[in-house]
Parts: sequence; C-alpha cells; structure tokens
Amino acid sequence: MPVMNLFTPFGVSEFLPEEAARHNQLTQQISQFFESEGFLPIRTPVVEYFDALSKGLDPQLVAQSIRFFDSSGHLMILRPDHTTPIARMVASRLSDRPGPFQFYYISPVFRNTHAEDTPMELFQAGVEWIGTSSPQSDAQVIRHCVELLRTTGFKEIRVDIGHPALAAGLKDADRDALIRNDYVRLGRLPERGPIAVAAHIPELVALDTELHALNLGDVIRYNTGLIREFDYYTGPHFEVYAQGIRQMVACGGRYDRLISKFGHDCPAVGFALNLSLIQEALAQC
Amino acid sequence: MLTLAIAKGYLMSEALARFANIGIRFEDDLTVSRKLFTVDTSGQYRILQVRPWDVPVYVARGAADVGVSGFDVLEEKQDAVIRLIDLGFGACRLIIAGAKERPFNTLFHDIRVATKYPNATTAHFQKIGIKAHIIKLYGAIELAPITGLSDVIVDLTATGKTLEENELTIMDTIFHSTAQLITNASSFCLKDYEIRTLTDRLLQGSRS
Repeated sequence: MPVMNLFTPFGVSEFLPEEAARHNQLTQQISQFFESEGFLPIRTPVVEYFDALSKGLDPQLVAQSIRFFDSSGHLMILRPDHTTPIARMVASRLSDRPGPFQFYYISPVFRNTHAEDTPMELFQAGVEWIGTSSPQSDAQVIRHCVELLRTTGFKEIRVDIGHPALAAGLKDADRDALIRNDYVRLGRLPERGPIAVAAHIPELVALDTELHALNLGDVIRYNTGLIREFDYYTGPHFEVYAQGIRQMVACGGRYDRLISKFGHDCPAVGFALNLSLIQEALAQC
Repeated sequence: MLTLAIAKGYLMSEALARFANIGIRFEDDLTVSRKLFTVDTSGQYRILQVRPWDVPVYVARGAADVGVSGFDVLEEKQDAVIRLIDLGFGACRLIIAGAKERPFNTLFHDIRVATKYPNATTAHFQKIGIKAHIIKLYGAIELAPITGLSDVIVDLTATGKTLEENELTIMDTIFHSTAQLITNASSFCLKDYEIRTLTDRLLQGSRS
C-alpha cells in the first residue's frame, strides 16, 4: 500500500491551538488599533466570478491568481487582494450611501506559488479610505501603517514614497529599466531622499507637509525610482520596510480610478500589510 | 554592517582586489582559507563565499544585503534583485556553438540545444522565432554535439579556447556578461546610505 500523503499545499497555513491563539491575539491587537482610528470591518468573498472581479484587477495580480471552473462552467477566482473586491462592493452596494467610508480587513488572499517564496495563502491586514481625496487622508493612511507596525513591535521603519508623475518624461527604455530594478541599464542609481528629490510634484510637496506635521519626517523618503508597471495608483504610493523583515512588509497608495472600473466614480486610498511576514518575524524573536 | 555574498572563484579574487584598492581588507583570505565568511578590519563589511548560482538567492531573500554576481547568472535565474552597478570584471559571453564539421551552420525548428542555461536559451530562441528542444546539462556541455546528444550548445565562454579544443565553432552571441553588484529592496531601503557609499567607492576605485 502506498504511504498516504498528508501534506498541505506549499504556503498554506494551518494553526495548532497555541499558534491559533497567537494569531488571534495579533489580529485582535490590529483590529483594536483600526477601530480606535475610526475604521469599520468589511468582509469580501473568498471566491468570486472572474469576469466581475477582473474588471478592476491589476494584470500582475490576474497572472498570479488562482482560477478554476465551477460546476456550471463559470470561471471563478480566489480573491488575490482585498482592495479590488472592496471596490466592487462599494460600486455595487454602497454607491447610494453618503461616504466617506473607512474600512479595515484582516484576512488571507490567495495567489499562485510559482515562485517558491510566494505563499499561496497570504494573511493581510489593511485599510481602504474611500470617498476622500486629500493630502491629509494620504498622510493619515501612511501614519496608520507606520503606527500599526510600531504597535506590533517594530521600531526601525522606513517608508519609500513614489508617484506616477515620477515616470513622466522618462524614455521607454529607462522606464522599463526602473520597473525591472535594473539600475545598470538605467546608468545611475535613482535618487532617494527628502522632498527635495521630488519637489517638482506638488502632490508630494503637499503630502510632505502633512507627514511632517504628523512627526513622520524621519521615517519617510521619496524614491524617484519607485515606478510601477501598471497605472494602478493615481497619486502618491508607498512601500514600507522594517528592520527584522527581509521583504517589503506593506504597500499602498491612492487609487482614484479603480472603483469607477466597477461603475461608480469615487477616490480612495489604502494600504495592505503582509501579516504573514509579521508573524514570521515575531515568531523568530 | 553590510553582508555581501560573493561568487566563489574568479569573481571572488577580482572582488577582493577591488576591495583592497579602496582600502577594504578582510581578516581571512577566502580564496585560500576553508572559511566561508569573514569580516573586514573596519568591521563594516562581512563577506560570504557562496556558489555562483547561489549569490542572487542569498541577496533576493535578504540573507545578504549585497552580492557580486555574473550577469549570466542574473539573466538565467531572474531572482528579485536590484542591479546596482556593473563591476566590469569577469567578462565572458553566452554563445551558441556547433560542431565544426557540421554540413550546415544554421538553426532550425526542433533543434536540440544542450545548455546549463535553459531559461536564457529558451528566451533567446523564442526571440528569434525558433522552436528549440532544451537539454539541461550541468557541465562539460561541449561533449553534447560531439556525441550526438544535441545539435548545438549554448554555453558561457571567455576566450573560446575550450570550444576550439573540442572542435566547436561559435555561431552566435546571445549576450555579453560581466560581474554586477546587486542588492534587495529591503536592504536598499533600510541601508540606503551604506549601500550607496559602497557603490560610489567601488566606482571611484575602478576609475582610478
């Protein structure tokens, strides 16, 4: 008789009671923080129709997504992020309510593990602030992200801020080199530093004033090389790194055009934090 | 402190020479010692001696902040690393070669290609529109066409001497390769100043 294989797929989590307790403790700490900042919980479905959700999905996320057919032959998708299903929900079910909305979520997303270091089930905690467009809300979202990391025990935190306007005027070859992080082909290292490196972008200047007012001046820097392949973000966007975590721990930004892809025009800003990385780092110390 | 992963062999000795040029000296000489890591006398840099194919893995996963890797390895493995500067040494090229006495010197569909570089080879043959059958080997690639295992090979060559001695002739160059300094997004963000300082010093050292 063959040996029965009891493995689970790579990168899915199963928690024994003590691990589940630690996980719950962390998620409670996070939800308390979000609620104290005025955010309300929201839940999106794990499984959606691909045709509906993909209207708003970044092509990169589509490529990473887990898809399958249901018994009637509909193409289904496991949610690869939270922002897109929340945008769909806002457009389809909340368009008649007056905003703005401040939502938070703490749940996993699912992605294909083509690279051996991408887990299939990735726990995320994040917020979406929908219906406002101002440097104040952009700055607040960055503050929420930094404070959340501080609350969970990380001290040395750095936020890299970019903007789609940084790519304006770049030659195609240079833009491509930046997307690929190939500074050899670019011929120089992109500048990273205080607002002086991005002083030609008024939106970032306004954001910088707000961030300094929130005492985040030491944590943030502007990265002129932070260019994204797809124009998902419409304003300031950011990546967060913390001492003790070897990958990007959170990212976010302003995405004013996403909800309109589902039929309701509405600005929004948010971030998603990789809770799996946090749990891993906390387990090691 | 910055941790650097450097490919064992020629790239290690060249890198150590560049470091010595800019005044960075290490406690142990990894080219002769059996130790796999050492720290420099100022305590600012730690180097790890790893296999050439492992350098981007150490860097991409943050076990090292910075790495010295051949362009060929970066192109083949496509790990998520940031390429900082070209270091200029370790020059070689990835070539297509076939047997000298072959009656024709052209590529054709379903051609059998033996190589240590299946990804770079697949990408190249796709680009030129030829359907290739890749045979992955781990070394002594030159034997493949001689023994009829493959029609051609894709391999790295510096001087072309090994190809010559094994009666192979170069048909095309896929890319030229030199050593590059690489990092990962997390290290580059958290140790921006240290990494830029090292980059500047190495660039100045190679100019003077």
